[in-house]
Amino acid sequence: MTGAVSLSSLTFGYGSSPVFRGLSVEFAAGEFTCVLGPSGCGKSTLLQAIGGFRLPQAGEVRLSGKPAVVFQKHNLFPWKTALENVALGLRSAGMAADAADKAARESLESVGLGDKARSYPGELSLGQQQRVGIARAFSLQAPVLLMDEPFGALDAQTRLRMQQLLLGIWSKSKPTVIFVTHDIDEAILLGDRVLVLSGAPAGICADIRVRAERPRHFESLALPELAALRKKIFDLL
Amino acid sequence: MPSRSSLSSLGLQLLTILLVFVCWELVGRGGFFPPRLFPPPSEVLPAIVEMARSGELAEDLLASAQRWFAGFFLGGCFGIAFGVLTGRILWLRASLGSLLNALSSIPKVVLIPVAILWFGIGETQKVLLVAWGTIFPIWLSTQEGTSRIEQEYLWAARSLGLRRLGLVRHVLIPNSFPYIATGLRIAIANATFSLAAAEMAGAFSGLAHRVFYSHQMFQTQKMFAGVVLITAFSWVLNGIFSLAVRRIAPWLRQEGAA
Repeated sequence: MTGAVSLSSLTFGYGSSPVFRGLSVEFAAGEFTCVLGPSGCGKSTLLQAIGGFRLPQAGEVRLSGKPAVVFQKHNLFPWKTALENVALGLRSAGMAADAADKAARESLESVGLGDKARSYPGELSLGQQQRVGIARAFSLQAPVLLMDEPFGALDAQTRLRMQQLLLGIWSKSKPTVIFVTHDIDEAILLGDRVLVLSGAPAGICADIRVRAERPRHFESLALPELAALRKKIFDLL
Repeated sequence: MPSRSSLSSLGLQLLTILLVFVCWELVGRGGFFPPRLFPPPSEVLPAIVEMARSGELAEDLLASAQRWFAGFFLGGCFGIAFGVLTGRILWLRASLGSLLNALSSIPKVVLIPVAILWFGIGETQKVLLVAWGTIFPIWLSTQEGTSRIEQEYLWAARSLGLRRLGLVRHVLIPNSFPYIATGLRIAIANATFSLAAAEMAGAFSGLAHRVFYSHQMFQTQKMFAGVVLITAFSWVLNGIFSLAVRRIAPWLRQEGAA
């Protein structure tokens, strides 16, 4: 079904040392999964393999359609305005120029940046840049969204606002999200499911369902079940 | 709209040029050199006015400008196209790299006899020589720029469905723009050099041809007039280029580049 992602015995390595070996995971359509792990454990590489940006040495990635992506940096093209960045994908998907611009404008408005349409990324704050990145990813209406520490470079407060914004937009169209982070709070606040990655080569050392009610907010982290979950993951890492 | 600071910088440049002319006048009139060999601007400028009145100036300027722009455009298009190809395709870069270096190190003037032999002394030969002077710095800088690109840009482009020409147009070329701009600036100087050399080697019109011809006729004022005109010609071209860069690449303004 569209949106489902399946990895079967995936092996990938740089040179002779494998980053992961024989990794198999299923991602259900419409599910928000956070991939959590320490820096350098291979979680970004895994995401790049899922996106088809890196070819695995063995195994298979099954994924319907082209995934949308949001990276931590170098997301937006600095030579295009916010509007052009968002409209570019729509245009190359065959949408007429004015329809694409209109859809891009609406998309920017949905992240609260309607007034920044003509700004270049260099003129926007980091948080605003990532909002444009999110607007661009969602505007494509891709069934799968891959996010690689998209809020990693933001200050704590901006980060909280962005998490809220992301959940708000996601809950409307519910694409499958695979979200890489090294922040435990972020993972349990956002995800339906948290995959904890560790070791070399990396393996899944825990596959945890997050059962807390949505919509979730920053305060949800104080809920007993989330507090317990956080302790559990902390001990794992 | 030129900004206030660019206007005042233009003013400063003009002032400097005026100062150079004043010094030149003083030295010319100081009796250090025979006036026939070193005419002051007060004798050179009337020569320019005379050339303008007789129509010679317009004819020479038009001839030189046509050759210059045609050659620059040709060299620029091929330079960028080749640069994108060798910048992105590793085996092409590996195989063409040393050839490219060898060709670009041929002193430009030694090719003039070859070009005359093959193409005569008509316009084709001059345009090709200008293009030859233009293509290498643009090729090399485009190659440099397109081979250095953040992985994420390429991945984002792919997820947005860009490929081939779309990728080149929306991602590779704008990403390399600061490099390409540097190449173009070097190419402007090279193009003028090649044009002047070609015109002096054999032509019936053109600014550099006028310098050469006046020298043969021992018309020193006119010879210096030609030198002044060629200098003004390249100065204006550089000015146009700076304005064009700001117009084409507005995103570089706040980074202070280019």
